[in-house]
This record gives sequence, C-alpha cells and structure tokens, in this order.
Amino acid sequence: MVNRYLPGEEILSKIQIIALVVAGLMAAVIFQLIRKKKLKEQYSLLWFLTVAVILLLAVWEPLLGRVSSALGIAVPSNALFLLALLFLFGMALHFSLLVSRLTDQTKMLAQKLALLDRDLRKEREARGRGESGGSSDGAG
Amino acid sequence: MDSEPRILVIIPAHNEAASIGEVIADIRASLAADIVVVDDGSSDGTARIARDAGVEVLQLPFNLGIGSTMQTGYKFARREGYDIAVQTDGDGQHKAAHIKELLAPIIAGESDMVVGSRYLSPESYKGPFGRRAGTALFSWVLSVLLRQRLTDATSGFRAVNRELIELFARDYPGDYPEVEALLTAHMARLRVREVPVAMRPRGGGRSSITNFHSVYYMVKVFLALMVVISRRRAPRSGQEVTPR
Repeated sequence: MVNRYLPGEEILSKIQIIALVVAGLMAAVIFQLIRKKKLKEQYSLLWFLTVAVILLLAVWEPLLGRVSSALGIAVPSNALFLLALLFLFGMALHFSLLVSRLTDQTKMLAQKLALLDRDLRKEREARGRGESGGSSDGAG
Repeated sequence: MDSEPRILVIIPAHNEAASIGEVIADIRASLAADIVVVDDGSSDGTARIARDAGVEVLQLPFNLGIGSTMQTGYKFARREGYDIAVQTDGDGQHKAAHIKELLAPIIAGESDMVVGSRYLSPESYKGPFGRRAGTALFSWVLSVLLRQRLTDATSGFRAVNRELIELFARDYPGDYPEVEALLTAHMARLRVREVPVAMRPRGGGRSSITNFHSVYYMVKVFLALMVVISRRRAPRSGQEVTPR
C-alpha cells in the first residue's frame, strides 16, 4: 500500500476505475445528445470540461491532494466537494441568466406578435371591405 | 398640447369574459377615447367579446402576467402616437366616470402621472384587510422615497402622458408592477400625483394577489425598489427635454 504514488505503478485503484467509467459515460451521453441535436454545442463545452477535470483527477491522483493542501483543506475529498459545489453553483447561476434572457426574449416576441396580429386583422378587414364586402372571418 | 389630446384607455384582461363588455360600455359612456383590450392569453373568449364590441384588441399568444400585458398596451400607444394613456382594470373595479379626473392634471400639464387613490375618497371600497395593509406599507415607503404623500401605491387605475408612454413602452416591470412603476417615474424626474377615486368590489375574476403570493409580492417589490433606487436618477434637466 506504500507504493501507491510511485511512478510506473500502472494498477488503477477501484475508485479510479469507477471515475474513469463515469467520466466516459458522461462524455458518451453528452456526445449522443449533441448528435440528436438536443444539446447545442455551445452548452456542451462546459460539460466536456467537467468530464476532462474528472478524468484528470482520476488519472493523476496526487493532483487532488496538492490542490487541497494548497487550499488549506486537510481532507482532499472535502476540497473536491467544495470545488464541485462551487462549480455547480456557477452552472446554476449561468442557467438562471440564460432563462432570464430567454424569458425576456419570449416576452418581446409575444408582444410583437400581438401587435402584428392586430395589424394583420385590420389589413384583412380593410381588404375584405374594399373588394366585395364579403365576410371578414379572421382565423379564430 | 395644442389640439385635443389623443387618449388611449388600456384594459389588460385575463379571462374577464364576464365583465369585459360592461367595462368597455362603461368607458364609452363616460369619455371619448380609443380603447385597447390587451388579452393576456385568455381561454374564455375575452378577445372575441372585445372585438365584437368594436375596440382594438391585442391578443398575447400566452399568459405573460399583468406587467408585460400593460407594456404591450404602452407599446401600442407609443406606436400609434397617443398623447395620454389610461390604464384600468378588466374586471370593473375602476369606475370609468373617474377617468376625467385622472386626465385633468395631465391635460393641464401639471403632472406626468396621475394615480387614482381609493384612500383619498371616503365612500370608496377599500378592499380586504391584507390588501389594505400591504398598500399602506408600500404607500408609506414610496411617500418617503418620493418625499410626497402617497396613499394608494398599488392602485392600477392611472393615467400617464407621452413621456411616460415612451418610458413604459421601453421598460415596464413584470409582475406586481404598480409600486415599481411609480418609482420608475420618479427616478426619471417625472411628476406623480394622486386624485381621489371610488372603487367597486371586484366583479368577475380574482385579484392577481392571493394569500399564497403575498409574501413573494412583498419581497419582490422591495427587491425591485432597492434595484431601482440603486440606479442613478435621471439628471435634473430643468425645462428642456433631451431628444430621443
């Protein structure tokens, strides 16, 4: 158990294998979502970055220990939790911003549509009256 | 204003089929003004009834909430070049006979925004207790901020001039807009005034403010007020108005 950090040691620990598998699955799911055009590439980049970080932490085990001691955190896993939480917080905020922008755009579209719909009805009414005085049934 | 001012009455309506016809008739009987009903995604034929009554109808494709519905009316007023916009309720709470009193200070050029207050009028329906308490609180806060006495900051019975039509067409609060809109006008250095009006108990429909939402309402409005205050007030411009 002492030689865990020795270079040339190629046997991966159980948790490393699990992390690699999870990262691989995440990458596959994201890629598949892009292929099916359900996820826009611009939003996938952040998730691929997440996968990359997980991969890096899994493969290069001392990294997490170094990061946590640099942050002054005694237990490396706590550093991981902290960073993961901060990252997820950032993502959630990012999506809140996106939703706010979309809400605004949707509102403006709906208002514009209401105005244009009114204009179109007026136009049709005027034309109907001008041509034959026929019925002016708008689309319900 | 040299000639007769062009006046538009904006009626936001969400499922007000039961009362909208009467509201329109009421307004027509009391003044000569154009009327636009902004239908906020109603499912009960509100828009059809309004169209049959021969008024302008702007039909939103889905429910946007009262603020964005009002703003649609202001956008229409701006585009069509109206001088004054009056906002009233679709459920018959506001008495159209009072619209003239809302208009008078604006036509005289004494005020940019006139709010109909039910608390300046002795015989008016004042609403349920919770609503009254909330209104009193917001009115007090706004009175302090605007350094003038306000009694009915949540009243949605208002008239505004061209300048505020332009402002609100560009920027109007989303939900529970009344309090925030008053402060927006103040921050733009526009003059606000209240006149007494009587109001009726609600006809059809429900208030947009239910008990469940009142806490959210309070928090949202106070947050909105802080945001508006944190922005800088428009520069004092004396008489001249900056061209847009």
